[in-house]
Amino acid sequence: MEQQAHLAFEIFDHTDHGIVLVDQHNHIQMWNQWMENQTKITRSDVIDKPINVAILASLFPEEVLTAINNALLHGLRSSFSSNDASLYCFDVKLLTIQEQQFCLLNIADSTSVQNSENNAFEQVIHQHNQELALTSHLLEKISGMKKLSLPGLTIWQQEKDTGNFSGDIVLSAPRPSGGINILLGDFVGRGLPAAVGALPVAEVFYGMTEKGFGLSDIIEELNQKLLFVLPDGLFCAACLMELEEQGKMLAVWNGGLPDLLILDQHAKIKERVPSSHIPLGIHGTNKVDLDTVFIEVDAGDKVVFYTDGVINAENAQGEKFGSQKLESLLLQGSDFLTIQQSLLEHTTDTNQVDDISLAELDISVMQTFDAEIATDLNQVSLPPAYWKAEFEFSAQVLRTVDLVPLLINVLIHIQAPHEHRQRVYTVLAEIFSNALEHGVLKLQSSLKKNANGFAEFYAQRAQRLAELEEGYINISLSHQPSNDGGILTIRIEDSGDGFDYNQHAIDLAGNKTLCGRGEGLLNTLCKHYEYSGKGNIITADYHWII
Amino acid sequence: MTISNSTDGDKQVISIEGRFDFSLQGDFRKAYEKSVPSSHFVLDFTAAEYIDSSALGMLLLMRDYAGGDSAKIDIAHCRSEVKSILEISNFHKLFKIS
Repeated sequence: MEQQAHLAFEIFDHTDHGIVLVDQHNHIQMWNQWMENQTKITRSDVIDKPINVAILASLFPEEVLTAINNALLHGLRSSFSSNDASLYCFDVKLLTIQEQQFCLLNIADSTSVQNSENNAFEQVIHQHNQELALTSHLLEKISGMKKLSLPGLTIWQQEKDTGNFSGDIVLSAPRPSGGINILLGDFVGRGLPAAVGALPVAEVFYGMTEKGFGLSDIIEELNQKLLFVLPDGLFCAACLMELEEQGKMLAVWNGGLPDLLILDQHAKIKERVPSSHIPLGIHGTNKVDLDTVFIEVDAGDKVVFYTDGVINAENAQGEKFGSQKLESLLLQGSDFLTIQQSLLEHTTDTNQVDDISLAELDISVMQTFDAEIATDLNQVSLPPAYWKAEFEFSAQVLRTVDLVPLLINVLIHIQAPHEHRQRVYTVLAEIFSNALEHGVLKLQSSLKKNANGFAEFYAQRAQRLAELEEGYINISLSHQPSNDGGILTIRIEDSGDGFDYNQHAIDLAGNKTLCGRGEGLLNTLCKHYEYSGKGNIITADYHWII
Repeated sequence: MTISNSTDGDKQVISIEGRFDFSLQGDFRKAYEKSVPSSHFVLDFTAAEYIDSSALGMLLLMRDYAGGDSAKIDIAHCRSEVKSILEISNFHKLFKIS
């Protein structure tokens, strides 16, 4: 979906005529590449400026301004060539995007139009209108996405008064195992492109939260998506937080927003999380950029977070509202409405130049929030179904790729009730490592009796794996529904010599050594498992009740 | 997947992040061998996402180092799914888990 929006923008910049979008306050919101090349005026010079600003006077004489007004006020469409010495043809019409009204100008160099058929110009106009309609359709999808309003999360947002798309988004969603994720994003940039970034952000955030992914994974994916979607020079300053199921631990990531504040029940600032990461969509992520801060929170605590539009808001004298004023209001115990009021008073009689978002999360309310009910409303995972996936991994793959997390990923994306994820991981990791270590690498688990033996075992494992030339592991994952849920069957066959599994079963009873740990887990977690072949094949059934 | 040390009063805190499996075994051992066996250890599992049987083995080795039955090791801030794996293995009888 986001690829289409990105393509739409690319297309606007590769047309052979000009595309200008003017909003209902007569401010320019889009200025494509052709316009830049033709007029030598860059988009940053004109975005958000009135169409009748001095530098554009010769380009947009009176009759063009009249046509724009006619479009915006009366919905009139006009096509004409400019009367004076400039060589342009204009097609001017009203366009509605997300219930807001814009005037769309298609501008052609009239020498080229004169030389072509009349139809060609009409056709090009039509195509561009279709592309704009596509973008508005995509943007409408954002408001159509399922959202649950969380009690305990108070949000106040005010768009800057040019009637533009808001560049700030606040998203919140419950996690499947309890707890919630929250995101506040401030798209830096102007006009249409800023709002286009919101769609992929929303898709990734809701989709991954629903599947139980952790903050680090979500942040990494968001960064990648925005790197792809946003044009150079645009990015998203954001903070994300995860409140775990009991409501006692908060994980926070702040990349580019003002300090997050955690206030205790006496309105003292008990913790402050400043921005410590580069905002999203600027460059590739490495591990360090995903680190989150963990904070213990108690009932009575409040988390306050906001975009810089709040502190940069100027009054009529050009003074900023400022973080000190905001914090002193909070320390006085001011509630949300009081702060809102103060901000509105500060900015009376001024034009708001940036979107304002202010949010507060009440920990007490969240601790009593029943995520169970929320989860049922949001659950869209696949009902238990038949499916099968088979893999064959050669020595080369075994040497190079860390397979267990990949396999778990496959499972998660097809069918894995969240509360079973750790257990399935344990089963799969256990069976796979047995196949690899004892089957393919022929290591002796009796080594793992003590600390040195343990270290020796894993040193040998690393060495033999690095030198592995021959061998394979074949894995089959299959699933079928059952009366009360589903059965996942994992079958792993390795190229090793196997073992006497009948004798092994006898020995296992009463085994308390370190290497018996894994079997104990398999016994408890799996409904059934059995060896076959030479002992180099194991088939395990994991039942889940959904 | 990382391990870090810190102290909390007289307790030695070892924090584990990500997957707790055999790939951490060297670092994990170094982390607890920095302190004397009689220390009061706290394993901070806030950011521990998955554990497997090799992790169980490593925990047992740590317990041996810290004196076996007289070891003082708390496992703190355990996610409920990780906790259930520890309980299945009866580790709540060997460690204080919260």
